[in-house]
Amino acid sequence: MRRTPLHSALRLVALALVVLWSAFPIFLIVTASLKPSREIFSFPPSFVFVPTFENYVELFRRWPAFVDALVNSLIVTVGATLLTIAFATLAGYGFSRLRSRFLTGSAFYMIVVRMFPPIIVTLPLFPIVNFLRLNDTHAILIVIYCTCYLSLGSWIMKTFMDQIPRELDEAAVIDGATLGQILVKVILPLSTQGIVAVGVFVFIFSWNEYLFAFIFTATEAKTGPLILAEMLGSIEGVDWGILFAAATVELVPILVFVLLVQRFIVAGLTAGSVKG
Amino acid sequence: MTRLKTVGLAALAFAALASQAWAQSKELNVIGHAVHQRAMGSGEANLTNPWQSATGTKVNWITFDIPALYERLMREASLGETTIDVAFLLNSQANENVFNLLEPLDELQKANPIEDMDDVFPGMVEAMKHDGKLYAIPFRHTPSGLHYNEEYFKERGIAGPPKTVEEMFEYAKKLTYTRADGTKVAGLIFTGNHPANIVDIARAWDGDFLTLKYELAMTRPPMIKAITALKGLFDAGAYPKNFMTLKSDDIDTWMQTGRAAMAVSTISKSKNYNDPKNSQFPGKLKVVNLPISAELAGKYQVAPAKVEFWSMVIPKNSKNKALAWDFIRHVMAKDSILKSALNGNGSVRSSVYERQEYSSQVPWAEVEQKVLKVARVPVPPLAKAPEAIDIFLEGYQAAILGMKSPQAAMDEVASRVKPLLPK
Amino acid sequence: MKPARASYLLPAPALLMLTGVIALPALYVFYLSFTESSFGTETRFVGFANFAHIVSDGYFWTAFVNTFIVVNVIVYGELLLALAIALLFAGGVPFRKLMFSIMLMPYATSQVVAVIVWRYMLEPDVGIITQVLANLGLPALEWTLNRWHGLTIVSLVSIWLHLPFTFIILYSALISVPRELQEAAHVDGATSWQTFRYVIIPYILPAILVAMMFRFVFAFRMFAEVWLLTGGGPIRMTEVLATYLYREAFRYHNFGLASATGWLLLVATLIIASFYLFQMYRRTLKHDA
Repeated sequence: MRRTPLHSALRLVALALVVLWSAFPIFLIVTASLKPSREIFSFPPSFVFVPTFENYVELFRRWPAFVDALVNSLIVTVGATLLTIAFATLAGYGFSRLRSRFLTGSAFYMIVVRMFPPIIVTLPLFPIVNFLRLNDTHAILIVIYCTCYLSLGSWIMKTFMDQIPRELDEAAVIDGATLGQILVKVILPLSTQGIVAVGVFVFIFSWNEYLFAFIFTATEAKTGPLILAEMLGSIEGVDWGILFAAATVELVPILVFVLLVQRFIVAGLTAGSVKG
Repeated sequence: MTRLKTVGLAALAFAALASQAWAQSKELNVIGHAVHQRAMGSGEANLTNPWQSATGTKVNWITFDIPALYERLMREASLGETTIDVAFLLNSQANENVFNLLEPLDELQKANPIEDMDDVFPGMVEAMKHDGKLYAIPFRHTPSGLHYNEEYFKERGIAGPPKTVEEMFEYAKKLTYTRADGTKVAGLIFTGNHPANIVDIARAWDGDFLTLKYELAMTRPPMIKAITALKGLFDAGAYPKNFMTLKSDDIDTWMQTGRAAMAVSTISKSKNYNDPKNSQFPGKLKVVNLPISAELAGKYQVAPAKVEFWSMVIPKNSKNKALAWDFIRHVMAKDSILKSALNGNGSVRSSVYERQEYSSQVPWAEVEQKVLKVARVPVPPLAKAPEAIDIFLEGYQAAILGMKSPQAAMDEVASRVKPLLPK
Repeated sequence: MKPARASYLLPAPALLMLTGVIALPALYVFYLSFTESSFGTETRFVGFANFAHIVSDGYFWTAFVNTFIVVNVIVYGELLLALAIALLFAGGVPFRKLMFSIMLMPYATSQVVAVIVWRYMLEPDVGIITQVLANLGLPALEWTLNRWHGLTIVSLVSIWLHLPFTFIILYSALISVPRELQEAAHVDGATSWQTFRYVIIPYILPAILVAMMFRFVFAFRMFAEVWLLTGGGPIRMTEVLATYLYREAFRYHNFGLASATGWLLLVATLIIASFYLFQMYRRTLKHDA
């Protein structure tokens, strides 16, 4: 592509706008966590201030349950992410490589099922989960979160696997590889972008999900968003500094996760150029 | 088959995660709001400690915000059996459908009574009865008052808080101005997502939305006068443009950051409003009783503002009812209620207001005591209360925005609320 | 290649979970939709009364129209923005990892907290955005008083929250376009636009369809943006189907009505999405069978 100076300048302006758009509200959240509560909602907003970490100290002092909740969130999120990737990969491979009425039907069944609003499903699910003694466990949240992203996950995996030439599978079959070996050794390395995309979606969703966590947990598996909701639902008045500190802490694991998986997007890029 | 192995392993991992410990026997599960847990005190000072060690019981608190708490209680109480033993319920949530799921407490009270039950505000206890049976024990109340910014009053040359509601509206207009530092001040604010504070204003004329006898009081002059006056404030810019989106925490923030001069909200919020950590006006945000209209000056000393209260209940399907009742008895004892009041809990026992330890520590004790003599709930117990409330708010918004006259709007509300009332 | 019979079982775990967690409970909900049911009352069969009530309820239709408008605005808005930004990124950006993370952050933020911050920025009279609009001589967003302004900010906040969703899918698809394809097009004398239009777009079209389809499904259930910003007001004019449903299910505890609404929502989504479903079938499942 030709790069004139004007072209480059326009790109930079566009990029600056993208950063402003995405980051400014986040910037407000993070700076709010470093301000005394009384200054957070002042007008005009104060951009020059002496940062204080008092909100963070107070957060962990006044909400000891927050730490447990973060641990629960992490267990549930990692569990749901791994499970979704595993099942979505299997389904995606099936949809990509095989053709039958049953499979086409199932692929669309997956989408149609997801069109049903999940909040209503909690009505019958609550007594069932109680009967199975699964309420307040990590397992139930892992199962539900995974289910919520299986349809999208399977379709994304199918779409990315469609781009992998079938000749590679066939060559592996001739070499005597089993289905499992083909999946792990041939397909997975070439569908990392898809896996990363699915992983990011499930991870972020599970980390922030409120409704199911509220309905199916009590104390043992209580997750982070429930604590945020409690902070916001304070009767005596919300302590905004602590709330924004908690919101900032909640952002960190996702940031770490995104930075970690970016390696694989780069890997995907090189693999992509090899495979064509 | 490698694939099947993978699936099998995943299933095993599931099973392992699923086999978590379930509730044990000598534990009492209490579901409430964090404010109730805090009322008990923390650590060594927790007022339930003696009870926990005497009975060998561990109290587990499960806390939620208000709508979530109610939702959860109802779901748990609808099961065949629940692990929830004690729950907190707001007066407005107590209706016949809910009572169906709760344990009547009369037998327990007869066998093993709560200390000096007559000391607990009788109006509140009475409201927790249905078909002659008592279903809930009041624990915490939250009456409304008028908070005002003393500094702004001085800046606008107003000597003191309004004595009548007419004065309050007049001051609200005077107090709508832009300060020297550019802060835009609104005269009067209160929450717009619930009728409670709108009813508070109508109470200046002793008005109501629905009376305790389920009369459609919103079409009567007191409510119409209140809405007409508020529309006047809205048109003058003294009642904010986004009034309908203001939630209770917005009211707090507006007062703490000086965006409003007066607010109708819970009296005990005064503590939070004057906390230097959260407020830009510590010590300057005063609280008084809501003023009565000049028309009723002789009849009432202060407006019969709204009071709401939380009660403790035992789900019918709890497995630990005796233990749960014993916990309630302990928490309701005179000494416990005093301790919780010192922790910031609105006391349901009138004797607490006579105690010197209380009145010396709580500056607004007298304001609370005054209003509690006349206060009543904003909405009577009603299974269809949320629908009725939404219909009312819709009519209210239409009237304030000038799409309908207050009377026409409220007449329509009345006709839509009528079918929702108990037969 | 003749695949082993067992291969057809590959989607089985996913199908089992979706069936167990959503489809079977949804059937029970179907039964509930013909009843009157709430906490602490006996469930009573009422036939089609719930459906009749909803279809004759003006608020339902307001919510339906609002949802239809907002969903289309945000799905297409996000698609164009995400495509533009993905192209920008694919063309190389400084600090790529950092930029990618920044781009993703809105999606990672708790929706509740995000809405608090947007409400602060959009505050009538004093919010930053209100001030900027005033300084640019633009009309103020009277989003607490005006239905269309309300829906505008709902769309705006929704796009902010979910743009990364479409972006991630499109960006991943874009960087997996083989270089050789683009180079071959160049050698054949194609302009940048022609390469984009006739090489890149067809290559990433399946990904675009998946992104749009699912964004469409999720947008149809948009809740927090409306409930926490306008609350559906003023006078329920900015209500969407999800807030209508939430009101019935969680505020009024009318489980029969809520169940019926849930099923109507499914049918409405299905009808409006059938175009995309058909495209997905035609382009990705049918012809290379």
